[in-house]
Amino acid sequence: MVTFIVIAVYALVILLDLIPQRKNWEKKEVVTYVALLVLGFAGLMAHSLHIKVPTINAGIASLVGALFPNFK
Amino acid sequence: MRNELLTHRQIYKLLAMFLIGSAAILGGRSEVAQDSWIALLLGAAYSVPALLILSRLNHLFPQTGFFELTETLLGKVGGKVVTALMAWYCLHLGAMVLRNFSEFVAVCVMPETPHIPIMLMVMLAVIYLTRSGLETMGKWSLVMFPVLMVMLALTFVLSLNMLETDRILPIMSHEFGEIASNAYMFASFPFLETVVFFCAFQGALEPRKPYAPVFVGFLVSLLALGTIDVRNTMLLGGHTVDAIYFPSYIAVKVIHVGDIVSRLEGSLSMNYVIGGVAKISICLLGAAKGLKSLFNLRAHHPLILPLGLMMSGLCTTLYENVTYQYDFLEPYQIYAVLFQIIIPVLLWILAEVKAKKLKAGQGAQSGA
Repeated sequence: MVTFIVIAVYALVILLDLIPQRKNWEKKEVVTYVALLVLGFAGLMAHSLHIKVPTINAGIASLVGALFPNFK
Repeated sequence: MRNELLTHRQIYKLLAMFLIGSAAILGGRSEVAQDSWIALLLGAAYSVPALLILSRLNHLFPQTGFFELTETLLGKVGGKVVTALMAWYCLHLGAMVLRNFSEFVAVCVMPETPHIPIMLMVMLAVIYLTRSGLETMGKWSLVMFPVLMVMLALTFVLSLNMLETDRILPIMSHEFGEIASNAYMFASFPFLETVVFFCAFQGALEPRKPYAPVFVGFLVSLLALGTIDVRNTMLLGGHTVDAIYFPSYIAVKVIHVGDIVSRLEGSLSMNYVIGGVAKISICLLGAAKGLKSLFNLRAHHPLILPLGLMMSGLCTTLYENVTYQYDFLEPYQIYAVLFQIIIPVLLWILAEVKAKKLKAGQGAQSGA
């Protein structure tokens, strides 16, 4: 169900926003738009399909821990 | 494109809503228990120099957006690096607030509902608001700010007969060093996050008296967060507040006035929706403006929708569950120093030098 919601939202975005508006945009804008859309879609699909991806905040916390080992 | 400006009233209301945002429901948790209100005041005091610096930047270059200013001051390469960093911070902060929101709904309101539908519903409202433009955001703040404040005041007034003043005593029972280090947590979350507000709105703030609305917004949010902190401590006790998730929700849940007024936690959820939507919208706007500047695009407007959806995608990968949300507050204090202090101070120093040079150049021209 969640996967269906994600696909439906993205289909609506492509049909109602990207396709009608892309002629008014520069190529650079379309490329950025599609790249952002793909990144977001990948994150949401991975979550909806229970695929484990590395957590960003854990990475940041480890980096902070490595740089400042004495920090509580 | 029209050069939209926000009025002073809109600025202070938006800033207050941005700062109250998620802190209203997450805030107040502190290791210094009943002394947390002192830590909050001290945290606010730590943030004042940063607010002065950001307001000064707006005063020196009133017509220039934050990201345009970074390129003007740091050159092309340095400017792009700082722009990328600040855009990332706006995006990451927005994703964290969105995740706080979905965790709150999942833990307190609808435990069986998956995160994604909640996130997407909030995000679509945020995208709609942000795409509607600055003018609409400003007008929205004029309507929503009183609602937020009335709800807040109502929960405080209705809890008056249940407040136990003994719970904030003894005052200063913790060492000053401990309170001071906890105060920095309150500074980094939420007060120093004001830098994101400037990423989104610098260039749209009225250049006349730039300090006044920023400080009014800051003081209003301090008053609101202080009231929430004291209310939670007096209702639940400092150690309970530190031990539970979403202390404001639990505190409001215990309010009963006779048999008539109870279950006020619904109003708190509404507060969170208003504050959360304001904060995520501002983060989204800041991130969109950052990407626009980074890739030299014509406008930030087309990026808002995909960036909002990407923020939702990012939000799902932040941490595994609500426990990690609070654990991240400690490393966040260090991580955020780069965005909240180092970059604004660097820009301020360079802006002062540049402004002095421009003034000297103008003086030489008029002398000749």
